[in-house]
Amino acid sequence: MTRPPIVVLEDSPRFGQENMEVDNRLLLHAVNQDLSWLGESTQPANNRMQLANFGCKSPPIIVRFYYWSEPTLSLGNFQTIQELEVAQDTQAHGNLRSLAWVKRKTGGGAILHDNELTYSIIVPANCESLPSASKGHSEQLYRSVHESVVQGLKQLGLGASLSESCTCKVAKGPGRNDSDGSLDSESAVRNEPFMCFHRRTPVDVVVGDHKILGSAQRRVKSGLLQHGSFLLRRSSEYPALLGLEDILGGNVRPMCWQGWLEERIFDAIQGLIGAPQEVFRLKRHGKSVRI
Amino acid sequence: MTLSPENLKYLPSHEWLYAPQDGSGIATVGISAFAVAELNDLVYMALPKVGQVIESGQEFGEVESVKAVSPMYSPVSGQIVEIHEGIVERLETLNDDPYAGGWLVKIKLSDPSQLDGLLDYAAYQKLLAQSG
Repeated sequence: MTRPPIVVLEDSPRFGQENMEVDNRLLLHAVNQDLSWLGESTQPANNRMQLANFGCKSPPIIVRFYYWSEPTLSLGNFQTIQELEVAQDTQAHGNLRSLAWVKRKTGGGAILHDNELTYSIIVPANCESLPSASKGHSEQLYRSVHESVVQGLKQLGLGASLSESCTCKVAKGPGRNDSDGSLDSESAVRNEPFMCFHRRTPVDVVVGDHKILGSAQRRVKSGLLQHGSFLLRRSSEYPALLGLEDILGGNVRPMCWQGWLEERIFDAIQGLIGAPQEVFRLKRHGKSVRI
Repeated sequence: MTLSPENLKYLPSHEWLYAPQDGSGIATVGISAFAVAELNDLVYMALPKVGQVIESGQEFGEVESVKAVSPMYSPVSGQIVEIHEGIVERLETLNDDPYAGGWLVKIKLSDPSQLDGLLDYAAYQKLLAQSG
């Protein structure tokens, strides 16, 4: 079995729509190895090779790290901006309504991208090393990344763990522990917090009561996209949530969190597929274009 | 309607289709028990509008489980003539009965020959065994 190469794309900040377009395009082209459409402002970081000449022998697993050009609210695939108006957890934070917003193709709740680091992992559908069904989420990828982050946070002396709790109300069938058997899935789900970081699913990464990392996936014919949001610092736009540095206080030296998270994700991927035969690093310096 | 897993056709992406021999040319479509199990915890579902024309292999809707959004693909080309009213508010039906009770859309076939390209029950079971 050939282990797929890994492409690490260190992106420069983009506006919301463009950030989502890049991930969607990476996903839809996951079975190709041509990344030249990323543009001339993206270059291999470890040599002088032109991106147009860049090519993997097989479709790569892509790991992208990115920031946002302005504080932006990204909504889960099935959320609407109108829900922001009525959600209980956002009532005291009118600032959110004036922010730029964009819809994600992945599920879950809304995320405020401000003082946080976003990652995406794109796994091609024909990746033999990480086979997956064509419906639902990849538990192994999701859990592996989060467990690796928990392990890394513990090494920093933090009491990190997986949440092991769930605020979600899902459709349940008979015999599936539904207390009164009369759950209305639609209304129950709508009562969930609007903001992702107020929700809990069992594999979320928490430090004490604070959720630090949440991820969600989208699966299409060409592959699997996993989005994740890593909270770094409290945002003045939504001070209700703490970031990792707020929790750490002055107890740890300044860190490059992107490099740290990259190591954690690499550990997770290596745990699943073994050491990759090739790793390509791409770095983009271009400015963002508001779509 | 006589609708049990053994007399359905399937896509490898786990959608099922029932095409009655009644001359109507209308097929019923849903997602298989395997798909429901893979999705694990259903949260939301979006279905197309009646009247929408769809191509075989094209997405006709999306379903969200707790951690993933997955498209649902149409096994055939045609026009959506009916959606299962209220099913998106009662997704627990799919856990209980993904076939007769959990059908999602009905499609007026534009090319009945496409049925020949779908998996029968035995072939679908073989696929599940191979991927399991």
